[in-house]
Amino acid sequence: MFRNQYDTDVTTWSPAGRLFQVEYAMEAVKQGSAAIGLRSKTHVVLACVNKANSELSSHQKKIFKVDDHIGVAIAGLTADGRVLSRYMRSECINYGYTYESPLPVGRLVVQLADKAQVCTQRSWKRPYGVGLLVAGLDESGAHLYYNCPSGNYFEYQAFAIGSRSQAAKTYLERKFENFTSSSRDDLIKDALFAIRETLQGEKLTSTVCTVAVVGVGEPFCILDQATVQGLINEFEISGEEGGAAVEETGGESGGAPAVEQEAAPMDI
Amino acid sequence: MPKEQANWSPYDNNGGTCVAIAGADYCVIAADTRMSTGYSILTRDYSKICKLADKSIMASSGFQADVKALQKVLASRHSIYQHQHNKQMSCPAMAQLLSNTLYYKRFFPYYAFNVLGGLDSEGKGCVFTYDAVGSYERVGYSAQGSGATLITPFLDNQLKSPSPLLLPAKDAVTPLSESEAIDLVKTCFASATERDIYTGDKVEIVILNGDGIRHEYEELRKD
Amino acid sequence: MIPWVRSRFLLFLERTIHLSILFNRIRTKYLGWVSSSLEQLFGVAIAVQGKKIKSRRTCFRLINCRSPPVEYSLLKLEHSSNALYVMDSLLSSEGDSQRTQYPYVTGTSVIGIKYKDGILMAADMGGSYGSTIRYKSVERMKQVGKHSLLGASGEISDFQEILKYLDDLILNDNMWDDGNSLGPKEVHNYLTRVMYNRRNKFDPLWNSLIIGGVKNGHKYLGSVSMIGVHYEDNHVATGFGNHLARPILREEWREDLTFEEGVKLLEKCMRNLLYRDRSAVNKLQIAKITDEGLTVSQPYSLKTYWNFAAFENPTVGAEGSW
Repeated sequence: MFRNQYDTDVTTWSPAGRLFQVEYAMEAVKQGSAAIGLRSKTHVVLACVNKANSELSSHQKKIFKVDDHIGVAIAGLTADGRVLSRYMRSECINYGYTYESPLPVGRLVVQLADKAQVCTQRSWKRPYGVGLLVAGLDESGAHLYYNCPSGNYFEYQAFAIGSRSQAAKTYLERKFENFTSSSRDDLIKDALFAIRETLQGEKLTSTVCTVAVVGVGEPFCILDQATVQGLINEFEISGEEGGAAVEETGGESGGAPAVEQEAAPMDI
Repeated sequence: MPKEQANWSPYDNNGGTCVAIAGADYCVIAADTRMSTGYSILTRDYSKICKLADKSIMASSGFQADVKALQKVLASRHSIYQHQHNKQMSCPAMAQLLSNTLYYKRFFPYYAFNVLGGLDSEGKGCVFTYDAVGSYERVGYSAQGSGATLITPFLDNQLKSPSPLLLPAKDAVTPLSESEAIDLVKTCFASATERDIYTGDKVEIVILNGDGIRHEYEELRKD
Repeated sequence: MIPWVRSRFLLFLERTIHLSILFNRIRTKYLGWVSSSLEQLFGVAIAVQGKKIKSRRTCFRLINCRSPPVEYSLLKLEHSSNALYVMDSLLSSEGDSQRTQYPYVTGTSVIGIKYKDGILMAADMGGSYGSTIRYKSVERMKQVGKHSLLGASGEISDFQEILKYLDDLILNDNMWDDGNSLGPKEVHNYLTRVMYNRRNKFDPLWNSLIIGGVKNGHKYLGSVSMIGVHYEDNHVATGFGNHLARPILREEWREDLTFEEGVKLLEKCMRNLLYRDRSAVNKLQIAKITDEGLTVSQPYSLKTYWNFAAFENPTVGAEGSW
């Protein structure tokens, strides 16, 4: 299907100046179930869609605590995500050991990006097939970053990755201007609304999503299911009719398959 | 350069006394806040007590740099444990980890004398007492550090723990109520301060029970 | 055999024998040297092997060809795995040791106090070579980064080495250019790790350090010794200062000391040290660090009064003394 003569290893350029293996890795992010993040001045909220591989299995964990002040949400190859979050955890612990203060989020993100970049320039390596939304708090405030397999990273006010993330992005784009001054609970509410956008015809319940918060005076924590369900009920956002219908066919330049086949690469 | 100059030692003794008492549903951990070297006091307000997990608290005396390194290693290990298991380490688990950590440096030991107090999985008070290379034992009460020789016999007399040789084994926890235990600890420290120059300034008492953690302080002699 | 070949062969043999004798001589004569340099070589090799290029930080150190003073891997953390071996070699070959066994040029006490707006620190400018006061213009207080001030007593060369480490640290911190910066607390902790790591390698940096600073309105004052003992307090002093100055500070220090009062108090302490500490010299500097920044005074001297009866005739009233 994708086969062409320039994609057999990461270090081979195509004449058009592209690195196909890296692009494929980026594609893996789009295959994973959605993860979103948004931030105010004081808080960052991460949320993700839990997708079970089969009726018989449970879903995989997609949000990880890295330290008291940092957490990540991932989309793509969960296994790669776990490796990277383990790396981030150890960096935080080592920094804390040396300085007894929390590692600035932006620095961790750069270290992570550098680690991903190495994999795009070694013939015997494979890029990480995972996108990470890194939420964190440090002395310069709350931050939300997106790290992708290519080694690029971006800071965002709000962002969504993974399958059908375009719908969530559209929602966030419509609302993000108010986020800066949002309260913690409003942020969570918007996170749940954005998550709902990515669910195609499915009902939003606490079983299909995970929400996590980090903020001033509040160490990173993943909200438990009962709390999330409570919030969903409170905001009455379970209904699948949704707010304004969002155009699904946003201009994803990468040409994401119109009808996404849910089988992510990891479940073969 | 003549070689008669002071050679250095990688160790120092910064003094201090630690006491822990386990009760049926509480645990009291206490240590003074003086830090000394030789005959001089470095600071009068240095906490020797370290919260390692929700239900395990360690008090350590000995060489402060080693103690701090030990605390940091345990703190790091505990955050790794939390990442992997999604829960706080239990006090008996922390006790074993502490022993292993000390023993790992058997041939260049941490010069640290620890008591670890906390609540076990049933909510019962527990105290673990150590030597510098990791031998440890679960007991009902313990004193460590420079004032231990003064306090231990006093506690033996007051608390009369059942012999560990008894069969079937009897509980080592003290029959005292929480407030009685706290008073006893205060008395211990006031007495040790009279004779031990490395104990004094202030005693910091941490009380652990079903409701959580509480701190109390009591001034001691400053001389 | 052709004579020509034979002579060549003999020459070769002779040279070989000559070489081996020479080598033997080197071996016997420089046995200590060879083994200790091998140890170093191995040490270096192991260090390089164990060091993964994990972060900018370590890369940076590699570029600078300076071994990182703190190891970052938790497993290897601060453990000298061969402590017994090290102790053994210390005992057997102290003469050739590349580790500091005693200091050469030393500075005496440093004193630091918190005051209303920040931190004040005082140190004299003497550098002693044993009991000789060899140098008289040694600056023993230096700025570290934006928010911190470091004062040192003990081996001057080790202090200058520490300043190099800190230059690396701060340069690296600035290179991120992301609005975050290391405050006095972080610097203090870092130095504590450095000192403790070096004592674990039986190669201490022979200093007592005082770190003061203000960041975001928060005052910080702490101390580290050569073996890693560290603490924070409202007033700190190293060496003799701990005996002579801190009792005064305990009596007279207040939270709301003004700058003038603080300087006065420090001068009182320094004067006491000058009278009783033989390596103190009457040329000192006072440094001030606040949220506005750091200033180190020009060197100046204190007014002293030596005409006390006990100074003029110390044996009067001390019967039986010489």
